[in-house]
Amino acid sequence: MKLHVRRRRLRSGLTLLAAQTRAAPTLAVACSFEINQLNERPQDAGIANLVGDTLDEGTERWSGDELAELVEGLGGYLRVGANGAALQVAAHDAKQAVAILKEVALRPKFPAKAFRRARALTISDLESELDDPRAVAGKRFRALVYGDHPYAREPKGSIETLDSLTPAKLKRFHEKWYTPDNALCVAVGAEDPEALLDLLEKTFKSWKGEVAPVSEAPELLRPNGVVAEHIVYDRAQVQVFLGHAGIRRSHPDYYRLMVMDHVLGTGPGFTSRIARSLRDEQGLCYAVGAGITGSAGREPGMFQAYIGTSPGQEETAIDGFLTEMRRIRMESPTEPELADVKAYLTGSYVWAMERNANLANFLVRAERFDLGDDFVERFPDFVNSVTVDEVRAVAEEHLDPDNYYLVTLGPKAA
Amino acid sequence: MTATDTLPVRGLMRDVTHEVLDNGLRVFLVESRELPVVSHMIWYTVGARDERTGETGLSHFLEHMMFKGTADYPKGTIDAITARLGGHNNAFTDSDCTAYYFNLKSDRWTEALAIEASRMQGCLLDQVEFESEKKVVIEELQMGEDEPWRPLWQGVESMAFRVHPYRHPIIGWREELERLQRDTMEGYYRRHYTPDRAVLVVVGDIDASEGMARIQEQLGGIPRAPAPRADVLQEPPQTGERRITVRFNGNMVRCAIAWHTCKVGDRADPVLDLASQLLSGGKAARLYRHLIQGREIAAEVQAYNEARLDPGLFWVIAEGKPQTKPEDLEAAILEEINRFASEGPTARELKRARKQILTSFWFDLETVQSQAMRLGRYEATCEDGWKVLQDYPAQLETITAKEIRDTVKRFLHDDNKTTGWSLPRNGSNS
Repeated sequence: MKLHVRRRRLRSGLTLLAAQTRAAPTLAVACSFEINQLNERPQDAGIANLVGDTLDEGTERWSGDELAELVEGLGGYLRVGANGAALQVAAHDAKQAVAILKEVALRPKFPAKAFRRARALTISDLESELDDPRAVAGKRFRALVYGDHPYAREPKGSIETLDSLTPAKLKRFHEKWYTPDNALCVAVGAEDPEALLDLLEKTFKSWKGEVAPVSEAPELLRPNGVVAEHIVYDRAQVQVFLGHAGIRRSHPDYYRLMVMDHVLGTGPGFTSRIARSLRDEQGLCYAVGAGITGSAGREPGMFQAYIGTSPGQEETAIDGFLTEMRRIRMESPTEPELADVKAYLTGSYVWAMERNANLANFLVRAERFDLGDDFVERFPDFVNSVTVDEVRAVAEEHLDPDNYYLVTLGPKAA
Repeated sequence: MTATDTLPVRGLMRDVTHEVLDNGLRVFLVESRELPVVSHMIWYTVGARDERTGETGLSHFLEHMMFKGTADYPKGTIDAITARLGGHNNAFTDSDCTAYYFNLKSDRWTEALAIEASRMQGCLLDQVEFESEKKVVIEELQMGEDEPWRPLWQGVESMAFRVHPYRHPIIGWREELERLQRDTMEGYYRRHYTPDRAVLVVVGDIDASEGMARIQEQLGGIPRAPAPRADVLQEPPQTGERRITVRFNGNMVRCAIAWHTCKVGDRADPVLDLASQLLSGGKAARLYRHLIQGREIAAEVQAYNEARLDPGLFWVIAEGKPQTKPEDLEAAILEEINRFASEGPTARELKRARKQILTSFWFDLETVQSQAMRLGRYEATCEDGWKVLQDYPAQLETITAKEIRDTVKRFLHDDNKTTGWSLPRNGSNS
């Protein structure tokens, strides 16, 4: 399978990407940034998220109300957030969509009233998430794994840090990080891709500015032994997160570990060992999974095993995770097991191409990680070259069943 | 076999090739050939609606068992084959239907046919697997109990419906699930999983006439059921407001208000689709603008029209902000609903809502599965079937502001309303 990606790089450093799809008379456009906790000072935690949330609350040209009416009048969807702005519209509305994209990404005004409202909604959101046991346990696990790394911080910030933010601070943050050399503009849909690139170029060519480098984050440390925490929550199930620091997307073992993930705990349905054993055979849970590559980014991700199970069964589940981690480190998977995983991985990536917005995300990710325009053609080779012994070897190197963090959350002390 | 009718659907949907096989299986094929992919969905017209007292949760539990082995596909092989083919499968159960899907490359989609042919009659329902999977279903039930919204929705449904089986949770009442016997499931399966109770939808890179031949080959020989779908007790009209409070171990106050409405495909159904769009279809919509923006009293608010095979519900749900008093939020919601009922939408609002709904048809064309989903759902949950979907866009154009106002007045009034609140049990999670 081939994917034809058109690309232009403007003098400002802005990269434009376009691809044509033909399934529907629709278009997805996005102006995407990689902005997160690394760009924030600890005392401003949550600013990246709040800037993103208020991009569409008023710009130089339009008020927030006008923008909403404009987008919804097109029958479109606008999503804004820390990663920038993305819009889905009918293809014949391409020109308007790109104009809206430019306004929200480049020219937000952060009106005082909308800022206060968005901040109050973020605080409300933080409170609301405390009602979700899986989210609470997952956040605590993440904080433990990341330790001193900025990713340990809650992306939405805290009540204290949010209180200290002002529209002026948001404006400065926006000016500093929303720069062309830190952005990717992408358009995917039922239009000639060269025409889409022309439109993006014309709209964004006057955008100037340079991004400052982000400060380097500390390396992640693994614990010595098991660091376990139990959070008491009066709920029907116990939430269990077990794991440790993972890898970067650029790690040379990435594809070997992707194959390992699918053997161990990421495969679809009940094909992975962990889902088969803990759910299909033992009936311990509805939701279960484990993997290391899904969270790999520019910074290291996590190896994370998760299960939600009845109180009293958590020890069996934890033993199950550790047994499978040890087994895959000691014994190579069988050849048929590996062949199945390869067939799945090489056969299923076509589904990422299906929806314009998904394909746009895929193009952004491929560009960020420098995967190359022929990535789609080469991907099967990356997967097919992995051997059973390599799966075992990377498991041994990257999984640690003796030194890990364990967070349990449930109705009684674990 | 009836003659094939290929009908254009005005650019918002692709042409549909439709046949009813001699055994009653309704088949819908859509050629959507931009990518080499196919979505294969089989819908059974059986769901929580069809369960009798003592057997709630059976439809959903049976859906789980359909992955635990058939005569031709031992336990684990359906997932293993799907994965090996580079595809995905899953299933879902709701009040009116149970659906199973495979998304596969187009050169191998007929494997799904073979699997569904085996599952229609040959599910093993092994006793050991039944007991093991019952534990999984109870874990799923508990997972739902821990979700902030689910106990509230269930509380409101069970209060709004007193007679109709829609009062039962789709996942079932725990005690009934625990007591459920394998033989009860076997009988249920034999009664409901038959070709004349099924709708097969295949959308993707297929040749319709060749696809129809394969379907006839694999599924055409399975016999009809002895009996059609049984009628159920209909809900008598509600004659006064009902209220329920659900205590939840949490911090936030959450509200769900439901009004009895109409069936899928009734004239009121698209009118209420427009009403929900006008109330909460974006930041320009009324509830967002007045409750989240203007009064800043809600953190989240949604309206949605949930028409069903038998008359369903129109919902408004909202989460208060940390300091919000429940009575203030409820009063604010009702004030907006009442204003909407008396004023109706402006011409500009109506135009916008209509366009949002019609554009959503185009977005659905982007994936084979969303096309299969829309088509299958109409056929499986609407008395007049998929033809209602065909007429939908044209019907949308005929709906006036006055009709919306009248419909909202007709359904969204106090005597037809069930109000539910989820309130913190003791103000903390621990």
